[in-house]
Amino acid sequence: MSLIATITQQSERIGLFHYRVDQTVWRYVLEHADKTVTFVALWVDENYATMVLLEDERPVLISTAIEQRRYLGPSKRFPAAQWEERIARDLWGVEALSTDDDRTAIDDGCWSLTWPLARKPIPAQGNVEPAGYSSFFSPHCTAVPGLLGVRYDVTDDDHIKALEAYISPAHRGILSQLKGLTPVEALPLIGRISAAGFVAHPLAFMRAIEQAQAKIPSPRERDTRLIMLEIERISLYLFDMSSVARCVGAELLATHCDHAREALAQVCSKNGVSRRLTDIIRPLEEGCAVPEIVPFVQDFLTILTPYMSHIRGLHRVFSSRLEGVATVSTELAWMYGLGGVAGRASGRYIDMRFVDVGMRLDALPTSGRHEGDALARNGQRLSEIYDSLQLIKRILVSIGLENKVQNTPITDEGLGVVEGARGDVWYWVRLKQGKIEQIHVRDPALPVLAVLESILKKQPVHQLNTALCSLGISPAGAVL
Amino acid sequence: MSVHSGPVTVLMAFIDAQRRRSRPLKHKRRGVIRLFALETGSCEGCAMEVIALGGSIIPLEGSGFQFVEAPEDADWLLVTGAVTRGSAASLAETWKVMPAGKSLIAIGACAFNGGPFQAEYATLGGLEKLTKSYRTIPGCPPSPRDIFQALVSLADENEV
Repeated sequence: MSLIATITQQSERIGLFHYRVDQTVWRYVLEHADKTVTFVALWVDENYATMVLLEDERPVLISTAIEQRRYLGPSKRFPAAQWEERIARDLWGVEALSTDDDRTAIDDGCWSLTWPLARKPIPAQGNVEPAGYSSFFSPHCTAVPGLLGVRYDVTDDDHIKALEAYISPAHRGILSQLKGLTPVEALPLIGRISAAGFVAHPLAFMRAIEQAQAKIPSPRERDTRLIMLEIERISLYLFDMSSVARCVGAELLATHCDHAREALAQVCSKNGVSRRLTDIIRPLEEGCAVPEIVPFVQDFLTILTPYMSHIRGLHRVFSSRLEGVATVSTELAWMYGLGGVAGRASGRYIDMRFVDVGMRLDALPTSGRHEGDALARNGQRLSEIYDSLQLIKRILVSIGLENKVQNTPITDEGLGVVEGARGDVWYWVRLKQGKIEQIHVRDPALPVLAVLESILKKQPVHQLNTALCSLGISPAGAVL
Repeated sequence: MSVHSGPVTVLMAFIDAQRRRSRPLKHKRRGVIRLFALETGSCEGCAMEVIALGGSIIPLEGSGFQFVEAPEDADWLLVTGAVTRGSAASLAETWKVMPAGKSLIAIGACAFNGGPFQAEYATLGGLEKLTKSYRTIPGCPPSPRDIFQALVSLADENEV
């Protein structure tokens, strides 16, 4: 019997995929989860710790009660949970037992409150002394756009000996602002959680809301959203490829990526949508945000094609500069549950588009790489741009295609997932009288942060920026 | 797609890039205005547009502007993002070490008034709550061209 089947038989079902378990079953899951079970997220508040697990691409949420502000932390079995355990402690003051890492994650003592999301926050406890690293690469020195810094020690020959990511200044208190809002009120904020997901984040949120309210988008709306997601993917891949190229002095490749990305933004603007697709995802009642999808997509395909041949050629010319940089082994990718390009370039082919309702499965590629270095990641991005173009064309010729949709009851609880450009974005919401009572977000940057030290150890310091850009880390989505 | 050798690929890509390059704006300013960009807590959208501004789609350098890597060398500070409490010290320090005659410019809605991010336990809000002397470039996010044109306008105002 599978682990999930065991859980479902021995536990109280409290939602469509959601089970409440006692601490014995929680412990049993952590001790018996094998490689067929994938860890997705850990969400903790003062009342419950909840894990999202995948078995055969089927999600299941299991929650256990927090007792005396403690729970058994899953990071021993699932190392990808490390940052979520640390973030939960900073926000709610809830401790994970059996964890080796007691460092703060996002509270560096600057907030006006300690444990700000707890029922009874306590007054600020003052500055937290950072761990004693000899060097600090501050956020404005890294080539990634967000507030990501790195503290590190180096060896005598300027290789990284130990390292930790520093992302606390990026925390904006988004979760506390979302509670009590209606989904419509929450959307503008969710649409600005991360520029790496102007479409992916609100779409995952709306999928969770629509599941909670048993709403189903029309086939045309569903297809329009799928196309927008692919356009965003292409735009972000171009941004990432440009950033990586610039780090290794491949200015000509960066130039072509920049021009292609800007041309896409202008096509969006010309067709009546925002340049970076902000606010494109709307509640179903408000109708589609794209006035004319067919001419828009035709413009998009026409404008991009001339850039791609140069980008492909230059990627090949400059490829040797990326070989062996920040290699993620297949074992690490699986151990930390890396998704997105970082996972697919390291032998872990997970793509949540395969479970999207209405997805044209025949047009979805299944080829990844296993080398795991910056070259493999950029190669994967390039191939996936072509794949996205094919997918967009395929959707366009059958836009609005009807398919069987399973009706679900209104449960006021929903789970939404979207395969964004940087990996799978997950939202869980519980509504009460039409307002958000609880919400949790899982951004794909979290497992990357957890594995960052293992990836960068022994890398030359001068390759740090290339490594960070190549992994495509966006701290904004991770720390909220 | 035709496949070329490395040098031919580079040459053709170079010619095409030159063709697409925008012409620098003629200006009569006496010196170059040096820019330093500082992210203070956003979705990263504005920061990405500022990176694009420093790339090749905008003729920034030929038009009398230049990005610098240290605030000590900068004339103007471009701020992106609502100011989080965690980034406030970095903003203050950056401003302090800039040479006299400096200007503070809020890029985008969040840097101006916090945008959708309320002043709370983790966030102070935009520059409007922190200082009286700053200028703004609106948008969410503003395009690189919008930022560039606003910078040119601000520079021209300074000259008058």
